[in-house]
Amino acid sequence: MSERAVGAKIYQFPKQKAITSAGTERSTVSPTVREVPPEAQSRSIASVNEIYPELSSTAPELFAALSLLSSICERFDESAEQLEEGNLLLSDDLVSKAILDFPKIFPLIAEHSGPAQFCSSAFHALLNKRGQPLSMEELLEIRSALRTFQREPFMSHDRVLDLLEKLDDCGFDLTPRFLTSVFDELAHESFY
Amino acid sequence: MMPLMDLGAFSLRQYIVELRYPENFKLWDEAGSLWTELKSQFSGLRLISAQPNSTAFVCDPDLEFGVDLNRMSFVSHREKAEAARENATKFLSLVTGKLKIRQFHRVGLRQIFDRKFESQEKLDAEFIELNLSTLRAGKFFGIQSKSISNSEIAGRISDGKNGVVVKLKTETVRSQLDVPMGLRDLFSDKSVEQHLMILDVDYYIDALVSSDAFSADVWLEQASRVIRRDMSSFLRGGS
Repeated sequence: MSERAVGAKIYQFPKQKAITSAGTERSTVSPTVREVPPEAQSRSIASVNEIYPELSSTAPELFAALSLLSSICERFDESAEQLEEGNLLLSDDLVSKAILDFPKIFPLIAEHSGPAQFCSSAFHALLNKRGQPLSMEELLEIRSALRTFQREPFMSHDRVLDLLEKLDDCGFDLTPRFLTSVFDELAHESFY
Repeated sequence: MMPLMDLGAFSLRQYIVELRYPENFKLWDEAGSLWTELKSQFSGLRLISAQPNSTAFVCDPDLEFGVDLNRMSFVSHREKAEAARENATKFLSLVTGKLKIRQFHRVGLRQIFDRKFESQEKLDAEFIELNLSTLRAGKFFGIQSKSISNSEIAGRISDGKNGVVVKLKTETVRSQLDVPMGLRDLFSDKSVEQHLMILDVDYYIDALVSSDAFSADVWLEQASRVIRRDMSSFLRGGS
């Protein structure tokens, strides 16, 4: 066996003639088949806690942000349960409390652009409801987005946009209110 | 008195980061623009080899970079850990973004430290004093020896996903300067001999890691911190 294999068996086939597309023989080849290493898909996925078991001491601000996010997600879980049971007021109250927790996350993740962008947009999506209770569909969509963010806190810009697009499709208005008036003003000026 | 295995007595010789991922053929499309962008980040980047499946550059005098179809690697020589982490983060983030890598299946930081000793005897004595091995010098195999040289001990701890491999060994390195005839009077000592204790630590995650859950900066900081914090007590059996 000419090839060295580390941790993998190599099976060597008998030599074969290689035929070009023109049908002429060019050389001989020795195809080898390597025992397939464990496929990535067959292995388990490391959770955030497993990737960063020491996060509380190495990046305490991120640890605090993820803890806050976890409590926000729990409020949304509970809110969905209450809505299902017909307790509209209680459900809405839990969403209001969750909204109040959002601003506490911002200073903790400001230097990570993807997470900051996501949190800011999710916060404004909720603010823009202007006190209107969330429907079950909206509750589930924002909860799902937050859970994704919890699992993948360093998501790329493209991934953040995917998540925000889903919120947008669900009917959330993601543009900060103060920007809406600026955009309106600019549109007005450019019209004239 | 400094504890025997205090990392403060060692110097960081190499800081190596390797991320493995499923084969990513985007390298064939993006190699040129990737390295052009890296060149703007690391001035003095110099091509070592460029083949379809593997590209390698160095940045004098301390840094080595490699991007293959299924792995990227960063090596920093004799740089402070903090500076090495910053450079590694810059490189890894850029490659991950450019090749749109979604998942890693192994993430590892290897730090190699060394500590110089005046003589072979002092080096061997220190290793024995660490009490990591039951081997002792004496008369064995008909040979009377005062010390055991070129000792090596290695161990791995793992929970199935996170793991650490620690190797500790002694080595003597001799380098010989080949001085051209006619210049020999300018070099009084043409050979250098160094007696080193080498501590090689590989901290890794052997599991699927989503690139959206991975921050090189945060993870490398954690890995370095854990190594600094626990190395001494690990080699001392937790005492």
